[in-house]
This record gives sequence, structure tokens and C-alpha cells, in this order.
Amino acid sequence: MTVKQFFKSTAFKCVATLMGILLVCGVFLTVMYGFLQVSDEERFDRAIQKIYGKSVETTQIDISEKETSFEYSDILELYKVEDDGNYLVLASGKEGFGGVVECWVVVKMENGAVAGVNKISVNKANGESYISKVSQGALDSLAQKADPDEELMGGYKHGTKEPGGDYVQTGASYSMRAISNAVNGAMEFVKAYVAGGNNQ
Amino acid sequence: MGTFIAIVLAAVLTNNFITVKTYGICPFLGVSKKTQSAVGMGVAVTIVMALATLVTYPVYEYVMVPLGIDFLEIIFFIFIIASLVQMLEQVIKKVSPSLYNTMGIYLPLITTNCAVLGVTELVIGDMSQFLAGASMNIGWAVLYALFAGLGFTLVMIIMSGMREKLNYYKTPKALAGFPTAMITASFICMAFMVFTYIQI
Amino acid sequence: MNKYKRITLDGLIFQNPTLMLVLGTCPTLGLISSATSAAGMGLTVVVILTLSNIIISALKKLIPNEVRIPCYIVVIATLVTFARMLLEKFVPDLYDSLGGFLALIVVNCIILGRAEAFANKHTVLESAVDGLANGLGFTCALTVMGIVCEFLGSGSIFGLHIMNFTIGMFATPAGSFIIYGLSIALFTYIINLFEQRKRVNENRLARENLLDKEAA
Repeated sequence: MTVKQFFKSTAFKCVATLMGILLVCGVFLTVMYGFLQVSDEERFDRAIQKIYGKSVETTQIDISEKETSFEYSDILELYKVEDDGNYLVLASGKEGFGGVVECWVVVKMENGAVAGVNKISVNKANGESYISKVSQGALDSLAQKADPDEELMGGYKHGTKEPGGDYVQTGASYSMRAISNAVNGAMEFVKAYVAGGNNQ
Repeated sequence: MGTFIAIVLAAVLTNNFITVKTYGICPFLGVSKKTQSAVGMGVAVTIVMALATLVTYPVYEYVMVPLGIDFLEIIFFIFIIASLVQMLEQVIKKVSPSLYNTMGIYLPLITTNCAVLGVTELVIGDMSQFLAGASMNIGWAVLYALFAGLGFTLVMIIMSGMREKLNYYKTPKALAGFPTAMITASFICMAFMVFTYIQI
Repeated sequence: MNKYKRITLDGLIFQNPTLMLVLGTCPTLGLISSATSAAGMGLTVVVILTLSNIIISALKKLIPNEVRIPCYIVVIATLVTFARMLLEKFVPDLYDSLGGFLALIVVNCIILGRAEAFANKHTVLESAVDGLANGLGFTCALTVMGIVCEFLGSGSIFGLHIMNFTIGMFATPAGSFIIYGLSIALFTYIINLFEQRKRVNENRLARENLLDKEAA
């Protein structure tokens, strides 16, 4: 087969077309990616926007040295909100309906001590089939009830061990238990953090 | 060991591909009329899922992420899967013509099966809920893909058994075919819902 | 004009990809537990399907027959990646609720099916109309099922809370399967009824014509 024949053969045509289309598509996407890339800061800003309804100044606090693992929850990230002095905790709660719920918890501070929870917002819920049934109203009522002075008993606080309880009407009592665990873990963590003399 | 059990339970039961994630429904409804063909399809999908993950995970982790072209993952993955299926078909045809006759006809259908692309996309995402604290690596990825495929096969076999029996009953004309199959599938899903109570 | 009307009706009703051909089942079953995500998925597919149909029918002379499927897949995968970037940038809520199913649009049988069955044989305009009609057929079916499923499963419609009584099963795949199955049955029943009536009508007309001829 001569070179000329090769360039006229179907095989070459096929490969050339495919490569051409691949190249055009790849270049197009690379260019577009430059415009449309979502940075980590933007992602974080969105989470803040969802919780506060406006953008606020935050500083991330390094917690790699701290004890971040509780019996039924893990603390993933901690931020100090500069505007009102509260702490923003990203915590994940176990004991849900087959999965793990990750949520943002705004821990309210008064006179340098933990005074409660301002707001809860679900960030991610892997494998939780019923998470869509958890309404913001249920989260708000959970935030109101959260009591920082109560001690953890065997990993739970009073009333959160049994799934259901006050939240049985949401239809997602197990997911609510996971969220309660995350909230309790967040409060305990901030309490320990503040007690360690870290609150300026 | 704990991670091994967690991944196996999650892939086969609590996060079953068909009953919880609803991936790979086309072959589930299309090739489940007879148990023999359901087993053939299930085994073919399992093999392709494990092989595809074995190739795509390292390509993504060690080539695409360092080069910063991880946003092109869909194109790369679908290409890898398509060529893998082609190669597998040729190999099986050469090595064992009898196996090719029973399994080979399902292979071309697998390229456009959600389950295969789905598992390759899943393992590069957030898998922390299945790992029980271990960090992700290629071994866990392939293990997850393999057992997700086996979970798929399990549900295929249950479904085909039920549909073989359903053939003996008369159904209303409008309900015949897909509607009956889907209502049957719904009962399987309900049965699998029990497994979400397994706490890993 | 008649041709476009037929293509539109086929895509929307008589060859509806979701309810008549039962294609693209994975995203349907995964997302109809929420009407918003179902509608979002449908609209994304409309855009991708129309664009892929246009591009493929425009390139049909250029692409050799032997490698047409890989070429279609590359085009579709590019469009999906692009759509994913756009959604992540501008509609992050929808991006989150679609989850893994966004990437799986690549292997959605509807898109590859329309490319293979329609776009590589017809002109650009016809393909665009076909893509639009099929996509809208998909969207309408998904949205209607999504509304039913969300109403029963979460007591709300498009996220708007309506009632407190809910049936939890309909928020899971088990409920989606039942709703999808019953929707197919109902749709097939209505279409059958319609076609039967049309046939009876045609037979009556034919008979009258025959009688008229005999009388004449």
C-alpha cells in the first residue's frame, strides 16, 4: 500500500474524523472550563449565602490538632463568623437512615460561652433516602431546642436516642436523629474549644 | 476488615444499584424475562464494572488530576468503557466461543448502561460513608465496583424469577409488559428498604 | 408543514420516549420523587438533545459510517460536560439535586437513540424539531410524574408545602417504580382508546363511502 492509498483509505478517514472531533471538543471544553470553573471559595460563599442569606466575613480555624471525633458525629471544619462572633461548624452525624448527614451548624455565642444554636442547614446527605422530607421548619425547631448545658449521655443527649420522638411527624425520624447527633457534636466541640481558652 | 465488610454490605444491600440508586434500569427491565439471560447479563455487567473501574480510577487519579483535566472525565470514561467492551468481546470470541454465545450478545448493550459509567463516576466522588474511616484507594474502588455488580446480578435474578412466574397469570392489556414489571420491581425495592436499617 | 406536525406529535405523544418507548428510565426513576429536579432534568435533556441532534445531522456527511457511534458519543459527552459546567456555575441548587444523574445523561438511551434513528438521516431543521419534541415529551412525562410523586411522598408540589399527610414510600425508588408503571399503563390505555376510536371512525367512513358508491 502506498502512502497515497493509505491517506485515501477508510481506516485513515475514520481515525482522522474521530481524532478531529475529539480535538475540537477537548479544546472547546478546556476554553469553557477557564470561564466556568467554580473555585472552592465560591463554593464556600454559596454555603454561607444559604445559611445567612447574605455574605459574611469568616475565618477558618485550624482544627487538625483537636479531638474532632465524637461517638456519633465528626467535626469536619470550623469557622469563626467575624460579624457576630458565632462559630460556624461543618459536622457530620451518624445513625441516620442508612447514611451520613453532613450539616452546617451556627453555634450561638453569648458572653464567651456557647448559648445555643442559631441555624442548621443540611449540606450533604449521602444515602439518606428520606432527607428530602426534612423541612427547614423542623431544622429551625431543632435549633431552638438544642441545649448546650445538657451533658452527653452515652453519646446522646436526652430524647435524641430514640428515632422519632418530637420529629416523627417529619417522616424522616432517623435522618433527624443523625442531624441531632451532628448538632450535639458541634456544640460539644465548640464548648471544648472555648473552654480551651481559644475564644478571643 | 471492617472496611471490607462495610463496602460489601453497602454495595450489595444498603446501596444496591437498582433498588436504591436506580442505576442500570434498562437491562434490569429489558433482559429479565428469563433467569438464564438475567444471569448472563448480570455477570457481564459485573465483569465490565470491575474492569472499567480498574482502568478509570488510576487514569483519573494519576493522570487526569495531576494534568488538571479532570473536568473531561465523562469523555475519557465513556471512551475507556466503550473500548474495553469491544476488547472484551474480541477476547471472549477468540478464547471461548461457547461463552461468547451465551454472554457475548449482552456485551454491546453494556456500553450504554448507566451502571458502568455510574460506578466509575461514584468511586471518584465522595465515598467516605462506605469506608469506615479508611482512605480511598484503587483496591476499595474495584471491590466496590465488583460487589455493586454482584448486587445488580442478585436483583436481576430475583426479578427474573418473579417475572417467569408472572407469565402464568393474565394481566389487563394496558398493564401487560413494562407496567407489571415495574410494579414487581417496586415490591423488590420495598423489600430492600429493610436493609437501610443496617448500621455500618 | 404537515411533516413537522407529525414529527412533533410523534415525539410528544405517539412515540413518547418515556411513556411509550420506555427509554431513559434511570434518571426518570431516580428523580421523580421531586418535581423540581424532574423538571430540571427534563429541561437539561431538551437542550442537550436538540443541540446533539443539530450537530449530528449537520455532520452526517463528514462522519464515516464505521465510527459513527463513537463520534456521536463524543459529541454528546461534550455537550453533557458543558451543561454540567453551566449548571454548576449558575444553578448550583439544581446541580446538587441532579447529582450523579447529570453525568449519566451521556448514556441516556433517548439521546443516542434519536441520533442513530433520526438525526443521521434527516435535515438539520427536522432533527432540531425532533429533538425539541422528544425532549419536551420527556420533560412533560417527568414533570407530571414528579408532581404526583412529590405530592404523595412529601406533601408538597415544587417544594411548596401543601399538606402534612404523606406516604413515605413515594419518596423512595419503590414509589417511583409504582408511579412510573401506572403512568405507562394509563398512557397506553388512553392511546389505545384513542386509536380504537379513530379506527372505528375510519371504518364507518369507509362503509358509508362504499354504500354511497353502491347507491350511485
